[in-house]
Amino acid sequence: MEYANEWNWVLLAYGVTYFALVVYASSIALRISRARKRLGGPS
Amino acid sequence: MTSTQHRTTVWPWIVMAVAGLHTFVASMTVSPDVVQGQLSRIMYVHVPAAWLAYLAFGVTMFASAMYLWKKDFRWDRRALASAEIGVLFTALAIGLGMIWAKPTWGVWWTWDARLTLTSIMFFVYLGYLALRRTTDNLDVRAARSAIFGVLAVVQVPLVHFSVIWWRTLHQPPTLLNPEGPAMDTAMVITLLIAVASFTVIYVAMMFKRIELARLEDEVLVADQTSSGPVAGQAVTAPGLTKGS
Amino acid sequence: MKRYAKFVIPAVAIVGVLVVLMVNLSSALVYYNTPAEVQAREPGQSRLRLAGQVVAGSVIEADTTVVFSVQDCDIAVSVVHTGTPPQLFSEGIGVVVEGSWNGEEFVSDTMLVMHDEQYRADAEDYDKDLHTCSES
Repeated sequence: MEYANEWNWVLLAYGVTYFALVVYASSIALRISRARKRLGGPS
Repeated sequence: MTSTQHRTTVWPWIVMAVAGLHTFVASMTVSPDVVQGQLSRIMYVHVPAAWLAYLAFGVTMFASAMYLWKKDFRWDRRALASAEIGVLFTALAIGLGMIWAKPTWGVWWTWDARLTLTSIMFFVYLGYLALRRTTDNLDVRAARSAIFGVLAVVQVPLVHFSVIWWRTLHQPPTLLNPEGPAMDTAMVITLLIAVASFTVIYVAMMFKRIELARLEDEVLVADQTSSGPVAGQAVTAPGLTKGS
Repeated sequence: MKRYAKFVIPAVAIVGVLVVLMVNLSSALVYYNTPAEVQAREPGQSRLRLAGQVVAGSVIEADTTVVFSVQDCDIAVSVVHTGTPPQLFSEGIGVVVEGSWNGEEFVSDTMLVMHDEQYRADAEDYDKDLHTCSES
């Protein structure tokens, strides 16, 4: 019976974690600069 | 004071990166578990994510209660920021749990009490975020969501103790075990490092998310006070000028 | 109207999902039965879950089936499982099997490994007897 390597699951988990954190942090940064632009100040 | 005078903070970004790297190094160097093997490393991100979901919703409850007491919009923005970050970490805890469950249990998902209650918690806080979109009136929005934010927190103990109160597939807590931690000291230290690092990431994210919430409120007020292009000088409203 | 729709659509979706989850919760509260509870049942086709530790020395693997006993609090039930067991399946580990009780054996087609809360680097530190009895 073939099973996937344990390390593949570990890499998937850490990949998902850091991807989610980076995407969320970027979304905050993007929304901040958009709001600043909207308010007419330097971003 | 105008909106343009608010400075943006840079340090939270650096803190997030350092804390993220810290968790990674610690959890990759510790010994694996004898039964699960390398899969045990997933625990060092799954447990901190779940812990942060609890913490974030606890903070939302506290900030909501503070808003109801003080009627200060800064508390409303803290409640929102924490709820949104809490939703992110709940989703992360569920996703990482699934990645661990497939090779360990043999299935991605099953309807035991812990998993079911966690997904209910996720959707209820999505509901909190949706509720905040129902009105443009800042007072109404803050009051409604504050009541929701206080009531919704009952799910946190329900999720946490579900594995003790009911028969579940999910194992009981390892670190917060009623009979003492069932874990090697080196692993406990690694887990505590990961939990601390994630908490630092949460705090750094809160700073940026609160900054964003203040800007969003200013945009909302600017839209209501002037129909033309937004002038920086016009953007002042009660509760908005006290800084973050 | 636009703002109204912006709220109502997600709200209806979320309430719908919550209703589905609540229905699942009622059956989720008791996720499995113990061997003693299964033995006390009338034989039949109804689907249920059985949990216990795989008895050491009881595992016989064939082409498509695995036969073994699960035990909890010194009461054992034999299981005939069809399908590939999960990766961590081994003697002494906790499992949940899904299927029906025919009065003699538990006929299962789904097996989940129940991992306990212990995290140990050394096999010597691992307490094999931590979950030998769920009623304790």
